[in-house]
Amino acid sequence: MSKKHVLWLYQELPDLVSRGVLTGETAERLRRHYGEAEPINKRRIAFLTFGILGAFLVGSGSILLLGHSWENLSRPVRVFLSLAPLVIAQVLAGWTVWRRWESAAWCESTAVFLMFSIGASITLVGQTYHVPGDFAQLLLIWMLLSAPLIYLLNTSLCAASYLVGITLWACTARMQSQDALLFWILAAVAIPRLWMTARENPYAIRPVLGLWSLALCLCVATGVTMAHALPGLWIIVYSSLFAVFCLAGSIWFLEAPSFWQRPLAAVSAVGIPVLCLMFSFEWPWEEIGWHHYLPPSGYRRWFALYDFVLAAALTTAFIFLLVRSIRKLQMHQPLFGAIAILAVICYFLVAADPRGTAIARVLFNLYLLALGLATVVVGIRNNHLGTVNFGLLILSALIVTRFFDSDLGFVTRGVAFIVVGIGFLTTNLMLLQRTKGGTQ
Amino acid sequence: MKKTVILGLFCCAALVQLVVPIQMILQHEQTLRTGRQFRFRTAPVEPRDALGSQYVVLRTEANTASLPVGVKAEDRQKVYVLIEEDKGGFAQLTSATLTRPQGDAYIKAKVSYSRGRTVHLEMPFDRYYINEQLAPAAEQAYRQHSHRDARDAYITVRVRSGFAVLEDLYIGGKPIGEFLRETSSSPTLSPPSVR
Repeated sequence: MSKKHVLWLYQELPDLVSRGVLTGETAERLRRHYGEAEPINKRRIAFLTFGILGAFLVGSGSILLLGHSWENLSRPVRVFLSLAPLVIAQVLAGWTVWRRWESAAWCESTAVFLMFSIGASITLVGQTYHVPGDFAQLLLIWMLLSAPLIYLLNTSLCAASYLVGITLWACTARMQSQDALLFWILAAVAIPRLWMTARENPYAIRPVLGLWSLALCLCVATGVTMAHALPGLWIIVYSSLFAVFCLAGSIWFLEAPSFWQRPLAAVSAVGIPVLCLMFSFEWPWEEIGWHHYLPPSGYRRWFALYDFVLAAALTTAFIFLLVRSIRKLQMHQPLFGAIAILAVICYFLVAADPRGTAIARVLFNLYLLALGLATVVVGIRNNHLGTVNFGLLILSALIVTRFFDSDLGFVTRGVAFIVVGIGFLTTNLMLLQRTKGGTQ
Repeated sequence: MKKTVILGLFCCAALVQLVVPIQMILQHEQTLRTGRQFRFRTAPVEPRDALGSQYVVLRTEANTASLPVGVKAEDRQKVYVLIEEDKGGFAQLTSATLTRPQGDAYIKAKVSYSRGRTVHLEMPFDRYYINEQLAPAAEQAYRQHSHRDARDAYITVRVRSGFAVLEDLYIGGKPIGEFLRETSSSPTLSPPSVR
């Protein structure tokens, strides 16, 4: 039960006892069962938010002010001003470590200010000496220098910014035809910090923020770091990645009070239907498999091996999580995870014989249909309007795409859209009636 | 962990954070003070490349060199490029090698792409930072004066042990700052039009 609901229950208990609904002893047993629930300290959250926002604005504003009158300053003055924000931020962060290490607001805001100052100082020095633009190198140096702050200032926002920074670096490096395998070592630096915060309370704002950035960055970096030597291997890799997210989210974050506090499940819930929709078209299956293998040129030869290692690791992780969780999970969770199995089967089918494309497309159409129906059923069973609408959205997306890439006339398409719309409205109305009936 | 240990570790991290920009400053300052000066004639840039809002995108006429027979360089590989001065005193790139040459007339540059023995280089001076209010005028002046009919724009570069630092951008024989001040204050002095 969420903290909000426990607090509501505790408020109700004296009234329930006085009306004779519960005995004093039962009320006490309920208190013991749910434990202490401190009210959310809104002042603390506000202080934390405004502290971070303030640090961000002060950092950005001072850099803009410096840049504005840059032309009139001599080189030594520019150099001094380039280093000044960094030194000020370091003094502030040092004082925080010494005096305010227990304060999340101080740690987060000074760490963010220092992180921005590092980037600003390097950029301003670069501008002073007209250093050629190598954005990838700048990002890499910036992130390496910021990494210790994640631990020394106990900060999740820095960890999240760091993950975004290294993902941006990986994208930039690949755009410059470099390999970006270093991403995984850089990401491994931040993972223990996320694990440490999640261990205390996985649904608090700081670990949730870290997990959201990790999940989203992994979605980007997984594809970016691949060599793509074996065409179509990304189908297995991304399917397994989202399946792992789905199962891990269902196993370790099952009791999250709200949707946004389940980043892994949320990302997979969006990612899996989107992937299925893509796989229901012909283009992902064109010219895939070992018959179209392209040995990497320009990069290091062993770079192609990484794709196979990644695919194998993600598939193994998926099987491990599936075996571990299959008995505990609800019906729709392994169903979402099953995309990995289907992707592997279809990949080998199409790679062996391109005529298998039609079968793969049909299978993914059916799978998406099953996902949509299962989501609607789960939503109705749990009286959750959001889940029902999400299921209907999956079904609508499937119907709309199939109607657009078929040769059906406008009248048939129009009727189909009306039927889908009526389905949406009817299900919502029915569920609202049911909820209303339940509360009365 | 004890607070003093964390503070000690933080001080070490802060020191490293300071060392990186300071090392950049020292390397550039030393090159600007003791490096050998070369003048590179600039070349026009494609308008689509001139996207920097706070800098002028630069291209030099000299940006290719020849590799010795039998030597190949990959794209983005670092090479050493020998510099010679022509009769007008402008720098010309003669040849590229994979090993560090003798003397002080060479720069380190990355290979952009190769065509036979000719390597096209990513020159280590591709932008001149300037106030964003002055940048459009500077970019326009650069384009007009780098045109093949004008050809009186050039950059000065200081080179020390292969490390090159852009010193200044000259338009019509004057540093860009001075040129822009004069053209903006005097109505009679206007940038020449492109023929």
